[in-house]
Amino acid sequence: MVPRIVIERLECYSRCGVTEEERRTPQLIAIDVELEAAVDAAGLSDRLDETIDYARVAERLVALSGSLTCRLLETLAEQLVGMLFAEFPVDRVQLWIRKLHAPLAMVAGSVGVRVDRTRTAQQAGPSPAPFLTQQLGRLPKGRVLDVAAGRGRHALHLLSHGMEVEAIDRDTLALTALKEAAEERHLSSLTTRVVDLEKKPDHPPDLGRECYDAIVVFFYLHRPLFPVLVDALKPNGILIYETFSIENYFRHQHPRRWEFCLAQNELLRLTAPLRVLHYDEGEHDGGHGSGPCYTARLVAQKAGPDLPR
Amino acid sequence: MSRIDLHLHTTHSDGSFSTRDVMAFAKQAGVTALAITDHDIVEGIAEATAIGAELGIEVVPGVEISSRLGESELHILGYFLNWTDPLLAQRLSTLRDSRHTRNPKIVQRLNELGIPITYEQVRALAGTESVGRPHIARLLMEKKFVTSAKEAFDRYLANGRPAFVDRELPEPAEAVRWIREAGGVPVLAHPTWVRTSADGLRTLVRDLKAAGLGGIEVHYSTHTPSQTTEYLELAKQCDLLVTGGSDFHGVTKPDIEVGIGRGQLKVSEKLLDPLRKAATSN
Repeated sequence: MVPRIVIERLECYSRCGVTEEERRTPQLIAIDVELEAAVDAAGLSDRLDETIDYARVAERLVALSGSLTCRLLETLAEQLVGMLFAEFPVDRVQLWIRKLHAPLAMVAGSVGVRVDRTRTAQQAGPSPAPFLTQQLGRLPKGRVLDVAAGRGRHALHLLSHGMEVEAIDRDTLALTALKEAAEERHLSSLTTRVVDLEKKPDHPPDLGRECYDAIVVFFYLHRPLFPVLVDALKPNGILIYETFSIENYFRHQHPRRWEFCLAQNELLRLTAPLRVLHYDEGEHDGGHGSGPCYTARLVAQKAGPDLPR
Repeated sequence: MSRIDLHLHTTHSDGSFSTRDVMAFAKQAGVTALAITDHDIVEGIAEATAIGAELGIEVVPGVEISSRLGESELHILGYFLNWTDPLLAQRLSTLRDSRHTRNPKIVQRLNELGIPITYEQVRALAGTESVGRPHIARLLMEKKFVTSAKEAFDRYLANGRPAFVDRELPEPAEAVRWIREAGGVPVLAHPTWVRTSADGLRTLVRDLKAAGLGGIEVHYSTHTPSQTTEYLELAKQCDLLVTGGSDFHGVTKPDIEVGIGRGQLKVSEKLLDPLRKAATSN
């Protein structure tokens, strides 16, 4: 039998709720978690470093719950599940998370959500940045370029919404993993291409002229690339962009080099030939599963025949 | 021993970061005193002083004034000046306007050369930054007239190329005088950029000293150790103060960090008091 680790009714405080009031004051939540270990090595060796240290699991659950601010328990649950798979050798996570004193008059007990996830399912479905899911409605159906796609958390999301996606990255292995993940989910309209966008620092490769209905870039910044992106968009094409602002460097020392962060309003300047449909800078959930980060987020559109001038 | 940085740019001129962000970099680098020295503008000093009080960093009022030396520009830094001085404000404002009339002229030359760009496009690209030739270069890149900023300068924008337009700038001695009249100490910026021989530099420094020059920016991000020694010697010979700074601009010079330049820069806080004294004895 696969060994299980069960932690029952881990109580801690969290800032989670739809109303601002709920997010301002931490409230008591309970987490029940059942973990299936990946291997049975520890049962034979009796070594702590080969098993799952449940004290550490509890500690991490409490720390992450305490550090996040979110509207929905679902979001919190996803973050916790993501952390468990990332940090512990587990194959399956069952998590029940509930508010012990939910602000609902007729509820005497608790309210909460349950998540049951296997590692395979988790890896096939890494969550995209919430900004992409929020702005998805603005994307025209058609051909989308995912720049610096990595393992493709955004490409997969776009594919599952019926887009045709071309994912480019310099990491061959990441693109192979993306292709496999897409095949597993029977998403067929994906093409991948290995491109090193920074091979010649000041001369980014041509990405074609007016060939994409949309371009998405998440957590990547190479300033000389912007004219190329603008060129590659079709008239009326949409650019969705989100990456770290300098605030994140100051507060979280990430990315390691400040030039990978955007200065105030810089993304607006870099995309000046486009019409801005949405722009903000601030503390956002980047969908990394590691809590909020400071980013600049932009949706902008290339001029076209249908746009009023 | 802690470090200082007396040469920094913000979005008030051609830097890419706000005053607050530049000062956060300074804090992180362990800088205890700094001067924001934006090109031909002192408007950011009030904000910098307030942020300095918050972060525990001394803010030296500063400016970097553009002047004309023959075919090229020469920059004069000013420290501890009375930045609210109305005469200084008016002089700097006129100087900034010369930049504004220059850029439309450059665009006009480019149009005459058959390159259809507009000044509005350049302004849109610059956003909140003050418009400069780098923005025109970027527009030429975006419009595919050139493939790099360097090519834009080499083919069109540099001195001697068909779209080059001169700015009306003061003589170096005049810039020195402006700073003196505002109660500040004028300092020759980054001597490495002065295109002349060692003898030419010595003559220039002596002439400017006669006009009121108070110091030389000996310590600078791109000065080699032998240059630093040379300029240090020159300052000693001419009885001038020694200053130093990174010339941080942000993303346009990504290899330069506040306080530490390319990693080797360290400007001692001991340089600050002589500078302060020189200003009060004005």
